[in-house]
Amino acid sequence: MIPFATWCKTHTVLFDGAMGTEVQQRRPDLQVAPDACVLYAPELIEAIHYDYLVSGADVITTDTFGANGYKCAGADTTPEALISAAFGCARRARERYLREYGERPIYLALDIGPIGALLAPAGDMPAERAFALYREQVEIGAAQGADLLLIETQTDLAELKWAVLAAREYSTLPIVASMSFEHTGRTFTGTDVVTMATTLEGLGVTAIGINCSFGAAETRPLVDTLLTATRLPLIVQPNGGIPDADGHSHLDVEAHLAEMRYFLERGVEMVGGCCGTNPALIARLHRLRREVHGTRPAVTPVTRVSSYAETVVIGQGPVLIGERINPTGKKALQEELRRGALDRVVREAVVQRREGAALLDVNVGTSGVDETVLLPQAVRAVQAVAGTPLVLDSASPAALAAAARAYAGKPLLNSVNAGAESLAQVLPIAAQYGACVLGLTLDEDGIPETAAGRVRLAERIVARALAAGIPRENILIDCLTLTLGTGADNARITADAVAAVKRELGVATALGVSNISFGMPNRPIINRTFLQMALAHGLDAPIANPGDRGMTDTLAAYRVLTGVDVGAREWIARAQATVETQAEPAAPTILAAIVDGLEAETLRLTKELLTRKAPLDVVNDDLIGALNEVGRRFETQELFLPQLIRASQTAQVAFAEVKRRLAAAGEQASARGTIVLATVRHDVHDIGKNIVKVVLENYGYRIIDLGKDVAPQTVLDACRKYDARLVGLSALMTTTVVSMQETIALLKRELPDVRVVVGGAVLNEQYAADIGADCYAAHPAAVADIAAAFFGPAVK
Amino acid sequence: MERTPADFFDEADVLRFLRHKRRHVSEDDRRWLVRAREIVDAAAVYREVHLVRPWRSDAQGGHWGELSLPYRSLARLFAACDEVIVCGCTIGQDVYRTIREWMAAEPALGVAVDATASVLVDAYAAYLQHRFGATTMRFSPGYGDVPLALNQRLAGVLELPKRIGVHVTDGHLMVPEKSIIFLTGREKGGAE
Repeated sequence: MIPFATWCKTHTVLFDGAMGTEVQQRRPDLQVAPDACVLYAPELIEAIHYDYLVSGADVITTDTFGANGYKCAGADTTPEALISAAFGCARRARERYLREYGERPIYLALDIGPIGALLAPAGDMPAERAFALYREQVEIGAAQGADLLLIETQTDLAELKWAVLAAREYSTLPIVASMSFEHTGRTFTGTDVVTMATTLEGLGVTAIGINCSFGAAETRPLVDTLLTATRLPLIVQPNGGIPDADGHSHLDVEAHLAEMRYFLERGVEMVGGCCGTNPALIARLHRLRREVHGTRPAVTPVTRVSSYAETVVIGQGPVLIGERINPTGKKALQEELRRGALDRVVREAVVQRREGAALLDVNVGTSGVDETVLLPQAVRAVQAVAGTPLVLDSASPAALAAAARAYAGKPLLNSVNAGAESLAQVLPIAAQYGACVLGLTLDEDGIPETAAGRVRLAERIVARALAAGIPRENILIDCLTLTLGTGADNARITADAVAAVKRELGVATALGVSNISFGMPNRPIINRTFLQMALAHGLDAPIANPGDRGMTDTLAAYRVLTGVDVGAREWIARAQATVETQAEPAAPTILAAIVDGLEAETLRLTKELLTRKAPLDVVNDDLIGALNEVGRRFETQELFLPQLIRASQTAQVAFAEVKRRLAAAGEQASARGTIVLATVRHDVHDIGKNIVKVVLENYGYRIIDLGKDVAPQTVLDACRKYDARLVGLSALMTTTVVSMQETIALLKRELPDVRVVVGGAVLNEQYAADIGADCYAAHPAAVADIAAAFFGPAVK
Repeated sequence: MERTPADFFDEADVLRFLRHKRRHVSEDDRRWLVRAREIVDAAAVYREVHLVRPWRSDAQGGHWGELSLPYRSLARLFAACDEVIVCGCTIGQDVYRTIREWMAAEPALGVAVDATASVLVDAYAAYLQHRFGATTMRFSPGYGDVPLALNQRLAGVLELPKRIGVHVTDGHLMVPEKSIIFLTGREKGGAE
């Protein structure tokens, strides 16, 4: 038989229809899950497969939608048993059909549905476990003789990517991948069809598409969008009507077929059915696909980078890459990264996104950090809060590979250069994960001094990338900015190189802009003027600080002037946002400034205090005094929770100024003490713990935040590693208090001098004592009081 | 006029979550509440799935259709009911991300967003209960003698992952967070 991957190139492929609803229809008395029918009613499954073959289906989808290790864990079976039995049913149906009707190509697709658990961080399924579960299915299916893999009804792009990686790495079978969307045009986790296409295009799948979701009519706008977004073959398998709460679909056959005709006329290569469809409908669809032979509309490839929820096109108007997630020259960030904390990284991601960055560069490279571990963690942490597509930035190919693997979407890898070693190491990573790659115009001999020299290196990078299987639209070139201090022609050389790369190589360009002014006075003016110059020469993606108003104003103005900002809508919105920013009122005391969240006033008053008092006296007398007063007002309910948090955050401005002053004098304020915080195992609610963290940090404590769903041993290990003697544990549910008790017991056994404070909705003083905690805190300010009693009231 | 989930939203509950116990809600307090509500409303996507089945109480608990639920709390609650509705609802995954975004960028507002989202999903459940014509209170696993582990089973029956994108963790908690499974009863004469 011709392999499916070859056959599908010259045929409109007809997949079969529903299995689950067909089982319910034929045997409503069966009290087993559809997947388990292959064990308990194999003749029924065989009959359904056979009927679909008689209807004309080319592909039989095995009854293995939920046959994964996670779902089997609670049942009395295994993926091996289910998949083997399912293939038995499918093979027997195929043999019977071929016996009765004669030879024709019939392919068996291993059906792979979602695992049934939400991936971390939103859920509790680690990505590696998801990968292992998919791998198990793929290996069994391949051994059973699957002709292709159908990964369908996916709603989480991250999960789908893991499934595709498992399929690619543990089989050579063609992969057809489809997702299920809502009426919003997005999946439950926020993916739109363009983003799905952008991500999957580079992952080596044979076809992508849409299944389940809703009926054919509702699927049409999504298919229309998909047709303009990808050149990959498409599969469309709508439901037969929309199932109601009891799973019954109400199918208007003629209307359904009219929509399917439309898809075929538009050149959709693979069709079939999902819930509510049946062999009779597939037979009508079979006749239709024989009649209708459409052509796909032409699609011009563009450079696209995506997250799980957003896609940014590069090359159709300049977009800004935010550069601030980079520890170079940032001591506080370096220190956080060394202990694996990612709070600043996440905060910078959110703030830069709000400042207008279209993409975010993520670099965690500093001494004492294992980037292969931390970069993927940073990627996941940022993706948990921001849908902005990411630029993965590391000099370590291993770190780039690990981060590209962990990333949900299609990233831009920063970077490869024209040196032989770099090309050999980085390009395969971009090819493997379907990523865009940024090529730097330098090699073993350094950076060429002429524009022509840099273009030659760009040519080398492009040629090698193409040879590695990376399409031209996935290649970007950075012609590199050298500071004016080292050559008066540097700006012109870079700009000329940008223009030539665009013109001669037809690839998008990115450029770190600010380096041009290094060592110069009035840097902002030089920077924004150079940005303007580079944009005029064809720069697509400046890498800059989105908080630099001069740069973003220049970029926004350029977008208006070049017609990218149609109708100047972005420009006008930007101007209005500027007008709405109001000056802070004056505050009479630092306490008033902190309570009202007036950061500028707090800074002004702190500076004033520092002219009269020693820095540590300002901390102990004024700042901690103010925070204690804030805590008192919270306890007496004069302030409520948002005000408590705002006050403690505002105080951070003052603490930062004191630290700056101490550092300038060659001194250092020690932390008030180290506290380990965790939400206990099995509990995914971490807001309460996060609030406590914000408050304690602003009181000057060093916080080791272990996150949520934390195993007892992890808490113990952290106490040992950071020599922490105060631990805060949080639990929201009665059931997870058991985990809290286990954690306390372990800590008390191994580290008897550790004190444990607990909090959470289900706890009270008595309950806390019953499970062995030393203290109970009803609210964040109470934790601060407990910490002050434990460590002492003052900073030394 | 038909009621909406917003009609069941009780601002007092948000204030309670935020430990606001003053009688007077100041203009400053009000700004927090309004902003938080705007943020949650922009992120929320309401989804629900429910099943109505006959209820039959017995000495140990009761039967919901063919499914045995041997819990006295349910037997007591649904003693007068001939139908019980099991429902899963959520205000969506994007709310989870939005809460974390605000907690990272502006924690003071982040806690208000979190509290507002908690109250909004509860308001949504109350709205659904009203729409179902329920005659009993709502009951969620984890209370009385009904174990939280029942969430897994009910989520499977309702096909929550497939239908509304809600999952139950190994610790029996619902994700995304602002999601609820509840049971509510209907006496004879009640109608959806």
